[in-house]
Amino acid sequence: MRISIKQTEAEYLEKKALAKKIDRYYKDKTRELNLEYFSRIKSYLIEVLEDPGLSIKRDIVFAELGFEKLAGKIIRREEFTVVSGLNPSSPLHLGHKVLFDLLISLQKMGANIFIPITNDESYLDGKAPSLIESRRMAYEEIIPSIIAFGFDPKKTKIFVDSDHPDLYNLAIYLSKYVSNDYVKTVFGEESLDNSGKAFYRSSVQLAQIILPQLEEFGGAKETLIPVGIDQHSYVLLARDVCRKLKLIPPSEIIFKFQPSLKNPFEKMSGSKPETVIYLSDEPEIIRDKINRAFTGSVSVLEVHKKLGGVPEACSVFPILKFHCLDDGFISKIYRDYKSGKINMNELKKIVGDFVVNLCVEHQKKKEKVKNINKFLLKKPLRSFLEY
Amino acid sequence: MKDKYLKFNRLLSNRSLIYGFCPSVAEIVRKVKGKKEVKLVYGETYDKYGLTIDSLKYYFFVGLLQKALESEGIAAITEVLIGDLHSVKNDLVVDKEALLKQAEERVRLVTKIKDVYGLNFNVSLMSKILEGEEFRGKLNRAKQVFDGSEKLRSLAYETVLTNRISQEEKKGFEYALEEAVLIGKYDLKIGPPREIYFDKLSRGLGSKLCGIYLKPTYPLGVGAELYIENPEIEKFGVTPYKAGSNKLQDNRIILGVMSFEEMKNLIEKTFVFKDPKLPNPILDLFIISEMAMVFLGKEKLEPGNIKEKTLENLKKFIFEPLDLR
Repeated sequence: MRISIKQTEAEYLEKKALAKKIDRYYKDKTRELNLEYFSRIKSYLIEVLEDPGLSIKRDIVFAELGFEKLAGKIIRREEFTVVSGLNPSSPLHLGHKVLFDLLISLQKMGANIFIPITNDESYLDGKAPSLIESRRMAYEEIIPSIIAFGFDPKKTKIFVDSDHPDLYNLAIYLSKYVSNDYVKTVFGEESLDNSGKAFYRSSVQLAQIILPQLEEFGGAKETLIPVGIDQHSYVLLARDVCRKLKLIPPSEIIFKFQPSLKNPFEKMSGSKPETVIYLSDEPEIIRDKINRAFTGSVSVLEVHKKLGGVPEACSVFPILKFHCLDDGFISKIYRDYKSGKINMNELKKIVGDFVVNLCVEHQKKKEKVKNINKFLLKKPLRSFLEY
Repeated sequence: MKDKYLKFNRLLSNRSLIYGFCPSVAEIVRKVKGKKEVKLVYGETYDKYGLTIDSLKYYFFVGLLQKALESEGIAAITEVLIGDLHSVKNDLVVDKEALLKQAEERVRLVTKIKDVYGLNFNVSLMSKILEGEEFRGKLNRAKQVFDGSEKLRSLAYETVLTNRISQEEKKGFEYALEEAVLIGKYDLKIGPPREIYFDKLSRGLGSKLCGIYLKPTYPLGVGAELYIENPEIEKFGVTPYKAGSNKLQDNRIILGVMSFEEMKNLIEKTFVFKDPKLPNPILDLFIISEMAMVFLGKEKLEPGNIKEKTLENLKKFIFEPLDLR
């Protein structure tokens, strides 16, 4: 069926409306959750830091809670602590890379980083068929892939939940401070359909966040938790419990999700392979996924040339925005796409080449990772048990 | 260059100087244009550290406002009030007597500044008004209105810093009320940004006072973390006429105390943000020196690095003419 010019112009308006909806979503969430816009602190960081990192420069980090003191530490080049976990339900994809790029930037600014690999959560949520499989994924796929980002082993501690049973003792200790009602209200009954999930969500994740404040790691300290907006409730819980324990409530920075290849209003999800590009994907698969991706361009070329594209309502352009280091290049592609100078096929070719190169480089670095032990946290957690 | 300072409309739209108005610039212009004479006031308290260079911004601004009004055929009677009694009202002030005694010295200094720059305002002590019978009568009447009004009480809360709320509650917001009543008899008040809260209280009590607020004063030689961790300082700056505001006396220029070399070092270690929306104390000093230049009748302004130009101007137009050391 031939699409009329009028229908295409309506399609363009829909894309503009989608762009507004995406922009409003982050602003509305910031207000709704009583967070602060990150832009205030960002304006100072980009002045004083030589390299504030992509996530900060390009407003991928959009909100924060209690980050002021930590920002002060960063400016004064003092050490600080970051905790950011990963559910190893699938190989790493571009959405995960947003987080790890941010963690690398923070490490360069002085952060000591704790990365819990939540294989127990994978198993409880049914994303891994067994604890064995979840551990295999963690050690053979996820951890080498994380290390390939270039973390400093002296300032990075990774641990697989199942292999750090002291974590469960800590979770037991903390669980007393979390009521059932709180858990049901925050996480919803439907996400607590087995007792393991209830224990995990209420206490194990809390233990991961609070772990760096144990005496074993120097006691109470400022801790930063970078999260997507869907994880905010965990940080609130941790802040509440820290106050009760006279520890320092962690602060939080929240980053935007990498848009799904199918719908820029949704995030890339490892459980939906058609929405993501895995860092382990072969070049042909990458190009095929990008060719099938949703764009901010209308379907009729002559109308696209007249009205231009809508990069803010596109699944493809944000891949450059979130991952390409060249500011000048991105500005040019943005302008050309928006003006209609380049069409969606040309954009997909440019982004496809970029992603293939990125993934091939990452795979090479991952192949070279031989010794993961120097990254693993082995310290027993006993300070809350010893008498 | 003189035009931007000496023409009334241009002065009020000078974005490097002006922070805001109460209730609005349109109301101020309407009020002023209908009159043959306006009464201007600027008041400042002080602390033990001495006269800050930032006070000059206010003296110069009232001087410019006067000249601008006169050029429109409107006479301006201007008072600069030295808040001797209000300077000691804060419970944190330890040696109240010693501080009160500094009031006369302050008047002497401000008078010298007036003479050097040819400024045309009266300098007087606030105590001379606050202790008068007429004022006490007005204050008592205002208290009666205030005590019966939730709205006025909530306006009074806004005048107080968070760490002084319980102090002021116990005193029945005496400080805020005294100021609100005192300024009520004037047409225009000039002050730093936080003064808007006092002016709103004064208008709430029935005065027709309008306010013009100048851009915040920022400390020198501080890191960006000060502003990140203290959004109040970012928004309102420090108190321009009190060097010890927020305990940042080592980051302020105090006339007659700090040498030119010390000032130079402080300016040189001040980070200048590229973003014009971020605090820029160097720009503020530059503007103060520019205004000093206007009053000394020197017009020539040459381009150059802002820190260098500011230092050069401060030396030529403030340090040397005042000769306070």
